[in-house]
Amino acid sequence: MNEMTDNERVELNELISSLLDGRASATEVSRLENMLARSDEARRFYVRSMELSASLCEYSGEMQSERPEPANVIRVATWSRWTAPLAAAAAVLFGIWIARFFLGQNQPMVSEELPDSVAHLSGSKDCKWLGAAPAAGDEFVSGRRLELVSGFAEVTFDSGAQITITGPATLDLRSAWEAELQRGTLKASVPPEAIGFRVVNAAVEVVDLGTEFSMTAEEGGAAEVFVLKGAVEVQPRNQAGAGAQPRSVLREKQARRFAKAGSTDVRDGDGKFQRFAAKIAVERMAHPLNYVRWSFDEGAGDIAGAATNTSNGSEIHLGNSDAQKSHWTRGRWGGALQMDGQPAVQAKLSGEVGRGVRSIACWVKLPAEAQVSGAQSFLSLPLNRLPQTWTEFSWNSLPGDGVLGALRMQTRQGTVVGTTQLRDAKWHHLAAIFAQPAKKGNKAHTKLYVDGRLENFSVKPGTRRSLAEMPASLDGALWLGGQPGGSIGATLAVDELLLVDRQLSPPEIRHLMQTNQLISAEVLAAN
Amino acid sequence: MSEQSADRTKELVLLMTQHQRRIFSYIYTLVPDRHSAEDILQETSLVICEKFSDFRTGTDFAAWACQIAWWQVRAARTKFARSKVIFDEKVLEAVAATASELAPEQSARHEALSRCLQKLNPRDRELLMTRYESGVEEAAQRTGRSLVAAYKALTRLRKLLHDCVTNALISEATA
Repeated sequence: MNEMTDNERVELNELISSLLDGRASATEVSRLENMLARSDEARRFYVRSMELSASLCEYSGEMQSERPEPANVIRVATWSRWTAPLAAAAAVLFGIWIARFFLGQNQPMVSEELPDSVAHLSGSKDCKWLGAAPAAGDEFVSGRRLELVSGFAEVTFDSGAQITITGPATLDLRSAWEAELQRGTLKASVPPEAIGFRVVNAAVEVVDLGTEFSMTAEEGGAAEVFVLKGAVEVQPRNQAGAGAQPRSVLREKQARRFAKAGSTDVRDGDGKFQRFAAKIAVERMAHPLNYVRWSFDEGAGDIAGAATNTSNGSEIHLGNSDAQKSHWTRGRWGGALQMDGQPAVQAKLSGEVGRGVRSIACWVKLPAEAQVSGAQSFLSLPLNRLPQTWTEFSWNSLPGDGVLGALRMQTRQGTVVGTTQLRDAKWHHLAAIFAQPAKKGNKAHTKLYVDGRLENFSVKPGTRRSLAEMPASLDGALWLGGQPGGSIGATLAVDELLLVDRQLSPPEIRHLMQTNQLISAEVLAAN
Repeated sequence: MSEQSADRTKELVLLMTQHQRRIFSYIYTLVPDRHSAEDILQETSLVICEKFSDFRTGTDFAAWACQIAWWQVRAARTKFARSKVIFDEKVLEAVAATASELAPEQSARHEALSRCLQKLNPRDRELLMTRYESGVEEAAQRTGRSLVAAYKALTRLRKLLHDCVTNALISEATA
């Protein structure tokens, strides 16, 4: 066969499309193979179709980045398999041989794209799902619908809010700050850091004011809200004259039913309260982690030691302090490191953490009158051992870029500026999470938390910096208190600097901030 | 690193940057599963780095790299039987020969595709882009289609783009 009939052309196109979408049966593959073996025209059409798909793979990555950026999340492009050959070559360029992990792992790199994950499955019990069952720890993208047939599933949002749904239930995840309950029952637990988290449905919008509440949504559109602790703000929806319906506040032990006809008292409120107040014992999994931590509790001398569970600790040599100045000050937890403009100090990263940092956390205290002209990075580190990605933290000194004195994070591909004022002589807890992509092939993103709260920030893409611009001294080392190798450093106090090789969840960040401890399996199960 | 060696490395980086799409495309044509093709691309890139001293400057890098890719595909076939490489040897060879024959037009087709994409209506473009970025399920959900409707639309759109690209090249050739 050389010349194909019109029917064969249609069939060939359908076979190729099935193959591309991963749904071709063995019979279809065999039929395609047969056509390719016999017809030159079929082979040409096939090759061009595959090349077109390869081009679409590339274009889709480019076009995604043209979308507008939401306020509170930036995407971190995975160092994808697609660009691996270039990465390999770049490694050679830097005179470093290609290590096994270099090509096998997702390597974070900031880009300005849509958010990927907004929540993850943090606990479950006897779950039966409609469709593919998510596994513990799976990340969910915005717009994801969860359809639980039976059992209990706990979803932790990036904002820190936790929702447990009881099957049968349908929950749409809209963002890190909002979910829609289509039907079924949920119990929401919202820590102070996630105040403002909203749950909506056809009948009512509930804005959490830091609390625990339950909500049931019926198929017909009616919903009932029960406040177990704290208070919530409720706004009836979809009713005649909805605009005139005032928002009201429901407090502890109060409940209300919302329907098209209006809001009413809940029948059998006491019985339902009792039921919702019962603890749901979901099973949570504690994922292992490796860490390096500098507590800066030495209080004297010129060396800051590190605690680690993975390899030899990395000491920070502080240099000789003169009689007038000390390296040490009172910290948020015990002692802290005081930096007063002296050159930055460095610590070599090694072991598991040195291979890939996924979470960074520390306390910082900046002077209220910190000189605007003196703002510079106070923490720089590579995110992976090989020098293809790195990040620098500073406070923002450019009002045109965002809030003056807010956290500023710079990476190869641009700069993000947060909204929380750090320049106030108070201790602030900072955490940066470099997330895994939610799905294979997807891109991951960075989340910033200031004082435990998911930080809103604006993105300043700027000019992408090339690998050559990475400070040479950053290869495998962390720099604290100023530019790597610079002669004048920043003025600030730093406490409890922690690097972890997996991403910390919002409850883990909160626990760390509140107790100065990494969460244990026991604590995780008990919460 | 000596100056000569540094120059050679720069040359490798440049060539890889210029030709990686063509190499990936070649592998993808032989192994029509994106993740498997990307795995083989990684392996190929390692071999390219190792053997780069054999490459003579001024000759066709893409053709040389595709030859390495070809052997990696063959090796994958032995290693994974038909789980990754679905075509039998004879078909694989015939398809590889056609791919090499059509290589000269590939860049022009890639460029023309970008113009053809602009002609699609936004909903169709969204479906295609999401499909290639995040998969069919998410593409269907985001564009308000059922899964079956999304598959049908993708089949239609691929053919539409294929024809648009072919026509664009014919117009350019006759202009």
